Amino acid sequence: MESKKKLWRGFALFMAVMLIMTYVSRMIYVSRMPRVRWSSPTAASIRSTLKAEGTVEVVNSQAVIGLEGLLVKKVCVAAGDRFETGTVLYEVDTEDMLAQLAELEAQEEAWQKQEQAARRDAATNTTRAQEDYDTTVIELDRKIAEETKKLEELMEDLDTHMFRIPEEDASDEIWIAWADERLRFDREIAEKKREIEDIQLEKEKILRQADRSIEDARRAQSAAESGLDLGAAGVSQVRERQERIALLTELSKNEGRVAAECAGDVLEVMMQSGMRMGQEAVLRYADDNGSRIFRTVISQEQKAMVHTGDTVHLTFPGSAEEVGETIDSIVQENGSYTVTVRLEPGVARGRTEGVMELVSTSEIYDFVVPVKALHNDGGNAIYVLEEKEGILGTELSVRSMTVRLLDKNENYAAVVDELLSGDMKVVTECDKELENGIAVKEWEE
Amino acid sequence: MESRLKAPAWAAQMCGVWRKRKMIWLAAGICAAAAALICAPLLMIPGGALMDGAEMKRILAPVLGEGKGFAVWHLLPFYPTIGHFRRLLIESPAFYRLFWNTVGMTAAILSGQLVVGLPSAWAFAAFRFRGRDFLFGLYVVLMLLPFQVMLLPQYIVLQKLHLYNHPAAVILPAIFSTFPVFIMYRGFTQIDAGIMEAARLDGAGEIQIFLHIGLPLGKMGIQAAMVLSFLEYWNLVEQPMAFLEEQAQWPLSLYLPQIGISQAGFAFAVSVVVLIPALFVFALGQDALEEGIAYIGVKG
Repeated sequence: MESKKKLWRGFALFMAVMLIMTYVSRMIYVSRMPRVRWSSPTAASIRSTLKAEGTVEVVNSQAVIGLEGLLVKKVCVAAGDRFETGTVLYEVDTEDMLAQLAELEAQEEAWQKQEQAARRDAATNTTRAQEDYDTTVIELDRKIAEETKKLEELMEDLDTHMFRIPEEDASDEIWIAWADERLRFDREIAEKKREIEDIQLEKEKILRQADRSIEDARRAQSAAESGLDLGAAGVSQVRERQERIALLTELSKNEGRVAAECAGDVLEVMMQSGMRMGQEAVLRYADDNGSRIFRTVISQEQKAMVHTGDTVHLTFPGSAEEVGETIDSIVQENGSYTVTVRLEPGVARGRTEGVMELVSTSEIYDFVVPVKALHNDGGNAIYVLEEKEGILGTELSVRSMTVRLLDKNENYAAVVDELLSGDMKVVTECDKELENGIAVKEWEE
Repeated sequence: MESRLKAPAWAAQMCGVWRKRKMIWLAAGICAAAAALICAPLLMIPGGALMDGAEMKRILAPVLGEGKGFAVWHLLPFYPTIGHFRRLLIESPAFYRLFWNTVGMTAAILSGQLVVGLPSAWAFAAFRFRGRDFLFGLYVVLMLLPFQVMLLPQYIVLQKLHLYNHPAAVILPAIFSTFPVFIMYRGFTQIDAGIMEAARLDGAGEIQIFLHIGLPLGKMGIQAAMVLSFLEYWNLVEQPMAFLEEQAQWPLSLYLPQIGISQAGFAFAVSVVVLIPALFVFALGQDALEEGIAYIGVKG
């Protein structure tokens, strides 16, 4: 009887242990169960934002060409430096510069003296030619007047002779004598006219020659005054010298410091201290007002979002500047795509990096789920939360469902499948890795 | 000549003794071998439950088709572990679900059998009424019918009653089982009829006689019926498999088939735990069970 009691106690203890362990195992089972959050697919459009970092490049760089022959004393900037208007770019050796300036000024002074003498000579020649002209005109006019007077006298003599016509009944001899006289008058008058004409022709000829002399003298004077007598090469040389004198003078006022005339960024420095400058550029820079381009590389997936001509939003790190520009070209390179955006002049001054942002809104899709809901199951798939009958009764479990991805952004994805419906519960978040058919529980809020 | 050929009496007696002893040893050997064969699966259970998974796999390799020869079982595992019990008792809530399903189902059946079967058995044992023998014969026939014969009719009836895929589909037919009625009837028939007659003469009613004479004196039969029913319904397989679709309603006996051969160690651990209640019930009702089995052999 005692043993029976012990057996009953043992049996009761066993059942009690089983009861306790039932709860313990259930608690452990539930504690190991993945917790999930879910949402139902909704009809919505996908707003995609493409963000890509890129570089700002200068299209045409500007060159600084120094005064040939000057000695560089100090280079004040380096490649990559930013400079503003008035920033000293480099300094030249002032002693060397002043020596060159003094030499040039001496040359200029000598040339000026020579030029003044030449001008004076030309002016004298012009005056003399004019005087010769005037004298010739007076003399010839006087000669013409004399001959004209003689002609008039002959004409009067002829008229007188004509009034002395013989009587009709005068003898032949008288008639012959009268006629001979008249003929003589006619010959003399004709001869005088020829003489006058000859003198006039002579005058014209002489005056033309005198005009030419005056013209030559004036031209010579003008050339002397304008320096044309030096020839094109000479004039150029003089001008160059004068310009160089002016530049050197200006430079000497600045104590040999060459300053920037605009703001920009130094791209390349080709000079160094102690170097004598030649005809080549000594420095290259990007003018702030010059054109720049923005370049970035995007993936093949991102390429689907952008097209040539699309307007993109550009920002530049470290700057509040924001611009909207259009994409000029998209070029495929080694599996990726290089997007080029030409910037307006003055945009992205002093910037070497930028961020391109393109926002596009798709059509309205029937089923849009959070992108976190997607997982790879030999393709794009989602986990659908559903009730499943099992040994433990009705439990929540997840079922992997393959879907076709239509579109997506960082937060949402548009998917489609024949079996997909709007009242399905799509798992969006879980605290453990999920597997098809695994039991889960809802996340306690 | 005759005297030389004839063996002495004591020699003949000795030969008879030796022959008898040989026969006894031979019979004992055969019985021991048969007992060992019968008990072998039982002996494998505790060893298997404590056996490491890798060792189990190595041993069962020929069975699993992954090795040659025969599987050689170790009664004592080389690498004993309680991992299977830990997994079963701590990490398998499904086991407990089915365990309590079984407990509930068995308790409902035994209770129902007491409510329905006990009065029936008493009626058959205590009263003489018209058609009693026919009814009792019908009970015996029903008791002898195998479940497979009753499967389809039971299915149809349960469908009509909308009890299919419900625990009642297993519980109700079991409550009306005739076997415990038969056992309890046999127990009640052992009560002396004179005692009941004397009680009636003393003015006791039939219910009083049942409660104060029938139950106390027939308790061994009742206990035997309950123990046998418990052992039957604790291990019930066919009925739940046929009438219960939802796994959540299954009894524990259907849990073991769900465990694959690759988890044999876990299955052995389950067997050990499943065996414990049955052992308790058997130990508690051993006397009654022996007596009850003896009743079956008593001519009514």
